[in-house]
Amino acid sequence: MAISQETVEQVASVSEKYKYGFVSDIEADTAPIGLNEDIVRFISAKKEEPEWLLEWRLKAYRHWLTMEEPEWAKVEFPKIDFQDIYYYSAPVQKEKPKSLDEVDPELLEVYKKLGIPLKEQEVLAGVEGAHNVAVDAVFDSVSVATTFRERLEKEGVIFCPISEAVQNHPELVQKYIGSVVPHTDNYYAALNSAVFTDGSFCYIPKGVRCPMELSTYFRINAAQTGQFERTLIIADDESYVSYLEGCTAPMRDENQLHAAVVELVIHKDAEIKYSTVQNWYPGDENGVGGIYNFVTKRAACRGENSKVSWTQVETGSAITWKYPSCILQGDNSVGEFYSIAITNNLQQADTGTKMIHLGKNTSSTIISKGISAGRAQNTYRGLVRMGRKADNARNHTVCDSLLIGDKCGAHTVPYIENQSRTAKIEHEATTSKVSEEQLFYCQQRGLSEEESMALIVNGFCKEVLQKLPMEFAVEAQKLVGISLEGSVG
Amino acid sequence: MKQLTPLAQDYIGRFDTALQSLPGHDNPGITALRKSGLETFSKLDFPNHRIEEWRFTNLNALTKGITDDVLAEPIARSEAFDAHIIFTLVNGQIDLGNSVLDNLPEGMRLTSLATELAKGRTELLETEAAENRSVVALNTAFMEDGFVLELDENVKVDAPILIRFVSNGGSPTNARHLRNIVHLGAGAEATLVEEHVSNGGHAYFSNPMTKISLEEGAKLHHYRLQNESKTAFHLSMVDCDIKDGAFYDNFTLSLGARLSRNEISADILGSGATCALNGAYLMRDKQHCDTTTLTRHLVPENDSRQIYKGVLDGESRGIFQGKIHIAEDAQQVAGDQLSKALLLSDRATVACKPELEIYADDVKCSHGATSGELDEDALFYMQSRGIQEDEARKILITAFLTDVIDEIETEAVRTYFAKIATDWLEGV
Repeated sequence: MAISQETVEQVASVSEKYKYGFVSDIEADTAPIGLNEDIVRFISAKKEEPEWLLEWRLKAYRHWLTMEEPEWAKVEFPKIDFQDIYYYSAPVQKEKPKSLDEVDPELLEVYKKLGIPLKEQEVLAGVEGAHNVAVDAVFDSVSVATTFRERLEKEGVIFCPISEAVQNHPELVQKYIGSVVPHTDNYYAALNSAVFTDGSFCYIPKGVRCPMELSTYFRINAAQTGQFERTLIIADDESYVSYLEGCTAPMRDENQLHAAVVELVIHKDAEIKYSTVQNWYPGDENGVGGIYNFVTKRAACRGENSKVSWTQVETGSAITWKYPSCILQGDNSVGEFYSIAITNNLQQADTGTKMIHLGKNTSSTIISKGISAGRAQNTYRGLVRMGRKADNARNHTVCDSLLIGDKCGAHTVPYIENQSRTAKIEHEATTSKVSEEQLFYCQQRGLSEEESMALIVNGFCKEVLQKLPMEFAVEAQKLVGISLEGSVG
Repeated sequence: MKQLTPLAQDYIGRFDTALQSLPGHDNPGITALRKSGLETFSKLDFPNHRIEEWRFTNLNALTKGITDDVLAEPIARSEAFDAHIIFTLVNGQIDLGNSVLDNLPEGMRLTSLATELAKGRTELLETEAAENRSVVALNTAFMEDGFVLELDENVKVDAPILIRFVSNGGSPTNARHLRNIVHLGAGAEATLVEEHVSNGGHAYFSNPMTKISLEEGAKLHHYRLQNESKTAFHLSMVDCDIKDGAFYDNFTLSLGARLSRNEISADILGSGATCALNGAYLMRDKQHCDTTTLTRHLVPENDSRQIYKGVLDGESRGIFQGKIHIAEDAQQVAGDQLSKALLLSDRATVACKPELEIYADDVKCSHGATSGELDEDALFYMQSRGIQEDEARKILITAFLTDVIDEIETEAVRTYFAKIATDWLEGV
C-alpha cells in the first residue's frame, strides 16, 4: 500500500510544472537602480563594512569598468543593461532577529513552501535517522536565518552569513576572500566582488569533521534585482564538510541576473564536498523570462592529500555559464566533478569544469552528463591542464550527451593540455539519443511515454545522482523528470 | 587601430608591385579577387592566440619577419617515392625538367595553376567564398602557382600521382604561396601523394592551400608528407567538398618545419559519403606541430572518422584541434575521432581540443583523447624478456604508430611512410 502511494506521488511530481514560481509579498529595502561607485559605497555602508573591504570592492568595480563581457561561451542573449538592475534588495527587518521566532513569519512561510525547514527541531521528512542539516537562507540579497549555529559553534565550526563573518571574523575573511577567485578574475566575478551583498561563510577548524551537512538556500524574490552572493568555505587541516546549495526564483517575464562567486580553500588532509541543485526559474516554453546564472566557482586544494568534490545538478536558469574548478596545488590532492545539466525548451547551458594539476600525484575525475531537449543548447566546456611539475598526475574524463528531439543541440568542447611526461590523461565523450527500443520496452510495461523518458534519463544520470547526499538525491531525481516535461510526444 | 605585424606590413607594402608578376595579372577578375584577399588580410593580420582557432599556435617567430638562417646540419633524405606521374614545383614554380607528365591517362589533366590562369580559366577560382581566415586571404592575394588535377567522369587512375614541393634557398621573398586545385568528376578515382621537402636547411614560409571537390561517387586518397626544413614555417590548408557517395581519405605525416600547421576543412554535402582524416606527427627539438580539422556534416546519412597520433620528443609541442559539426536535420550521421599523444621527454608538451557541435538528434558521435608516456609495464615486460630498453621503446613507439599508419590503403605509400617513421625513430 505504502509503495503504491509513493508511486502515485512520484508520478504526480514528475508531471508538475515549475512549482517554485510564486512571488511573495515581502517589503524590501532597495538601493536606487543602477550601478556606480556610490552604489558600491551604499552596499558597503549598509553592511557596516570595514575600510579595507570597501577599498577592495571599489578596486574590483574600477577593474570591472575596464573589462568586456565574455563572448566565447555558446550562449546567446540580448546585452544586459547593467544600469537597469537593483544591486541591493533586502527584506525589511525592524531589528535583527535574535531567534527564528522573530523572523518575519511571511519569510518562514516562503521557505516552508519551498520545502526548506528552518525550524531547528525539524528533521528532514521521511528519512529515518537522517542527520540534521544546518541551513543558511539567503533571500534576495541578504541572509535571513541560519539554523543550528549553537550546535556548530560547540565544535568550533563557524557557519554564518558572510556579512556577519566580516564583523566577527575579519581576519579570516580578509585572509581568504579573493584568494581563490581574485577580483580581476573575469567579468562577472569582478562585478560580484564590487557589489556582493551576502552569502555564506564557513570555517571548519583543524581536525573537525563537521557534525552535520551545511546548506545554503538562495531565493530571488524581488523583481528587477540581481543576486550577487559570495560564498567562502575554508577547511583547515584534517577537517571535513559536506555543503549543499539550492536555489529557486519566481516566474517572471524578465531575465534576472545571478552572478555568484564561490571560493573553497582546502588545507592539508582536508575535504570539502560541495553539492548544488540549481533550479532557478528557467523561463517559459517560449524562452520568456528566466535567470541568467553566471557563476564563478573555484576550489584551491592547497595542502597535501586535500580533496574537493563538486557535484551539480543543473536544471534551471534560462542561461547557465558555470565552470566549477579545482586547482590541485598540494601533492596527492584530488579533484572531482560530477555534473548533470539538463536543458529543455529554450534553455542554454554552457558548463563544465577546470582541473589544473600543479602538484605531484594529483588526480581528477570528471563525469559530465548533458541532456538537451526541446530547442535547448547544452555545451560541456572543460579544461584539464597538467603542469610541468605534476609528476604522475592522472585525469579521467567522461562526457556523455543525450539528445531528445531534433531541434536541440549538444556540444562538447574539452581543452586538454599536458606538460608533464609522466601524467596520464584520458578523455572520452559520446553523443547519442534515447533509442526507440528503450522507450518502447518501458511503455510496453505500462509506463507512459513521459515516465519512460524520465526513467531512462535517470538511468543515464545515475553515476552522478549517486554522488549526491541522500536528501538531495531524491529531490534531484524528481527534478530530472520535471525538467524534461513536455519534451516527448 | 592596432599596429600590424611587421610581416603583414611587408606583404601589404609590396602587393602592388608583386601583382604585376603574379599569374593572371592581366585578368581583371583575378586581380579583383587578389585585392579582396589583401583587403581581408589587412583587416585581420596574421592570426594570434586571441583567435580561438589559433589559441595554441603562436606565429610571432614568423610574423616578426623571417631571417634566412641556414641550419648547419644537412637534412636526412629518405629515398624518393617511386611514381610514374610526377609534378614538381621548386620554390613555388613549376619545374618541368623534374616532372614526368608525358603519359597521362585519357580524361586526366595535371597542369600548373599559372598556366591555366594564363589560358583564362578563371572559373577554377570561382568557388572562392567570402573568407574570414586570414592565412587563406593572404594566399588568395599572393598565390603564385600550384598544381591543377582534373579527372573526367569515371576516370580511374590506379597508380599514385606524386606532387613534389621542393624548397631551397635563393628565392627572394622566402615565401611560397601555393594554390592547388583538385576536381574529380563523378565516379572518378585517384591516389595523390604530396611531398613537402627541402634541399637544405633554409628558412622559408610555405603556404600551400588545396581546394578539392569530389563529385558523386568519386574517390580520392590524399597522402601527404610534410618534411620541410627544420627552420621553415609551414601553414597548409586543405578544403574539401564531398558529394553523394564520394570518399575522401587524408593521411598527413608531419616531421619537418620549425612550426607547422595542418589545417583540413571537410564539408560533407551528400548522403552515403565518407570522410576519413588521419595522420601522425613526429616532433623533436623545439618543433611545433598543429593539426586542426573541421568536419561538417551538412546533410543526413554519412560518416566521418579521424585518428591522429603524435610522438613528441625534446622540447617539441603537439597540438590537435578537431571539430565535428553536425547540422540541424543531418540525421543518421556517425562521427568518430581519436587523438593520442606520446610524450617521450620531460620538456615535450601537448594540447588537445576535440570538439563536438551537434544539432541533430539521431546521430552517433564520439571522441577520445589521451596523452601520456610509454607504458612502464610493457617496457618492463619486454626488458624482462631480454630486450634492451632502447629497443623496447622503439618497438612500443612503432606499434603505437602502426595503428594509424595502417589506415593508409595504398600499400606503396603505407610502406614508404612506415619507413620514414622508422628512420625518424633512429634519432630518438
